[in-house]
Amino acid sequence: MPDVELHAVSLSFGAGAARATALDCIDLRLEPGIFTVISGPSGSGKTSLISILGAMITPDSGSVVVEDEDITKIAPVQRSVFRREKIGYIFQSFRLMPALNAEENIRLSLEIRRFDRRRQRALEALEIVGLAAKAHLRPDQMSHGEKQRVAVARAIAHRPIIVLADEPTASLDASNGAQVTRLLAEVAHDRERIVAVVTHDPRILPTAQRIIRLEDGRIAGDQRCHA
Amino acid sequence: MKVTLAVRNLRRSGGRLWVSLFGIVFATFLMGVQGSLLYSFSLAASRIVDSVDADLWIVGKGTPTFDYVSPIAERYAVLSLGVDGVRDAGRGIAGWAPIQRPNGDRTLVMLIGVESRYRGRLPTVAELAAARGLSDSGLVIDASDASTLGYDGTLQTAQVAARRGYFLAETRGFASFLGSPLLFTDYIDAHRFLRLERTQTSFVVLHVEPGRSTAAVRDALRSRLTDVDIWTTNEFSAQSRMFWLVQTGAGGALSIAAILGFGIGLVLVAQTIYSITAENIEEYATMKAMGASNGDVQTVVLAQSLICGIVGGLVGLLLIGPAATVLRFIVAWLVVPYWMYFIVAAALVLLCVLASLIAARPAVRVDPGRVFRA
Repeated sequence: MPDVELHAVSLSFGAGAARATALDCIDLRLEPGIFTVISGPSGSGKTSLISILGAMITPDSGSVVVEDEDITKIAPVQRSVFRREKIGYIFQSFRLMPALNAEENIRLSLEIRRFDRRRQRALEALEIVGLAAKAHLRPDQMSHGEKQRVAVARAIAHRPIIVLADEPTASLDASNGAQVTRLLAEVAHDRERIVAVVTHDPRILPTAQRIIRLEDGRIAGDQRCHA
Repeated sequence: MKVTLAVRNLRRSGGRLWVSLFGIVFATFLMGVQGSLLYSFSLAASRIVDSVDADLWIVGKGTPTFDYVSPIAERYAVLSLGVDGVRDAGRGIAGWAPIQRPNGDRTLVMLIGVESRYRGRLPTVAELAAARGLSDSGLVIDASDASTLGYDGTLQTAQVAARRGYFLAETRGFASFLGSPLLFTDYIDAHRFLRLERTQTSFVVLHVEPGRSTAAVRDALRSRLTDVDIWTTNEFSAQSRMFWLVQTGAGGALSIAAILGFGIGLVLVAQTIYSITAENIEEYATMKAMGASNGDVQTVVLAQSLICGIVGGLVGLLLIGPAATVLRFIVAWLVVPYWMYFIVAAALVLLCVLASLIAARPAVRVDPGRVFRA
C-alpha cells in the first residue's frame, strides 16, 4: 500500500483584509497500517486538511502525492475518479441515504464506484461491522451507533487505500464511540489502509497510533503512540 | 440502486409528486388532442382533393385551396387532351350555395359534383339516386351534418339555390371543417344548382397515361395552358392544407396549443423535480464526495423525471381515446392516428429529459466539499 505525502501544502480563504490562512506550509506523510488521529482546536485547519487529503478541495500551493501522482494537479473529473477509487469517507452526521436501507446504501456507493457483485460485497462489509442482520433496516430504524457502523461499512466496502473520517464519534455514546473507533483501528491494522480521523473526541486518542496536532494551520505536534 | 433512490425519493416527496403527475397528465392530454386536431384539420382541409380520382388538377389562376375554386372555361378539359401524356380529362364543380330546408331554415353549403369517372371515394350519388327511383337532383350529405340539415333518413326535398333537390342518403368521412356542410351531387346537377354558364366548370381533372411522369405532363400542360394553375394531386392537396394551416392561422393556433401543452408539462415537471433535487441536495453532495460523476447524479434526476413521465404519460395517453370520442360530437372530423400516441410519448421523453437537465443543475454543481462542513 502506498503512502500519502503532503509537501508545503498551504490554503487560505477570503481576500484582502479578510484573508484567513487555513493551512500554512504543511509537510506530512501518512502511512498505511497506522491509525492516525488529527486533532486540534476549532479553526486549526483539521477540516481543510481532510478535505485536501480527500481531493475535495485543491490547496493554494504545495502537492499531495498518492501513488506517484500529485492529486492537486489533476482535472476535476480525475479528482472524482480518484475519490471514487481510492477513498472511503465517514462523516459526523453519517450521511446515509434515508430512503435506502443499510445494504442499499452500501450498494449505491459500490454502484457509483462501478463495482460488480454489489450485494455480496455490501453484505460482507456489513458483516465486518457486525450489522449483517440489520441489512434491511433504513437509517431511521437504526441507532446512531448502528448508522455510523453502516457508514464505516460503506467507507470500506470498495477497499479504498485511504479512509478519512470526520468526527466519527461526535454524536455517539461511549459504547458506540468505542465500537466505531475499534472498527476504524482494525481497518488500519488488519487491512493495511491509511486511516485518518479528524476529531475533538479524547476517547479516541488512546486507540490512536499517531496523533497529529494542528494549531493555526500548522502542525503543532506529531506523536507516534503504541496503542 | 440509483433508480431505487430516485423512486424512493419521489415517494417521499408527497404532494409535489402529485403536482408533477397532474402536469404530465395534462401535458400529455393537451399534446395528444391538439396534435390530433392539427392532423385531422390538415386531412379535412384536403379531403376532397385526396378523394377524387385524378393525377392532375387544372384550377383558376391563383386558387389557394380547393374550397376557393372559381369558374374556369371547361374547354381546358379539351385543350389538355392535346398535350402528350394526358390520357383523359373530366370536369368537376364546387361552389357555395344557400340551402333552404322545408321548415324554412337556411344555411350555406358547399356543393360538390365530379364526373363519375373521377369520383374516386366521393359518394356515388347517381347510383344512390337510382336506387331511390330518382333520375336527378339527388343530394348526399355527411352523417355529421344530418341534424344540421334536418335529414332523418327519408327522402326529403330541399331548395338548393332556389332549385329543388332531394336528400337521399348519408355518407361518412366528409365532415366539413369549415362549419358549412358538404353536399354531394351529380356533376350535371351541381352545374345546374350553381347556375354556371354552359361553358364553365370549377376544375378540370386529368389522368396521365400509364408509364408517363405526372410531373413531366404537368410541366407540358403548364407551358401550353398559361392562364390557369396546374397541379399534381399531391401538390394541390398540400397547397390546400398549407393554406388552411398557415395562411389562416388555424394551424398556428392548434400548434401553439400543442406546444403550450408541452411547455406547461415541462415547467411543472422541471419545477417539481427541481424542488425534490434541492430538498435532497445533501444526498447529492454525499454522492459527489464519494466520487459520483455528473452522469451518476443526472441519472438519479432523470430517473425521477422519467418515472413521472411514464406514470403521468400513461394516464394522459389513456385519456386521449375516450376524450376524442366525446370531442367528435363537436368536432366530427377529429381522428387520433395510432402514431400520434408514439409522437406524444416521444415528446414526453424529450420533456422529461429537458426537465431533468434543468432540475439536475443544483445537484451537478453542488460542492462535494460541503460534506465536511455541513
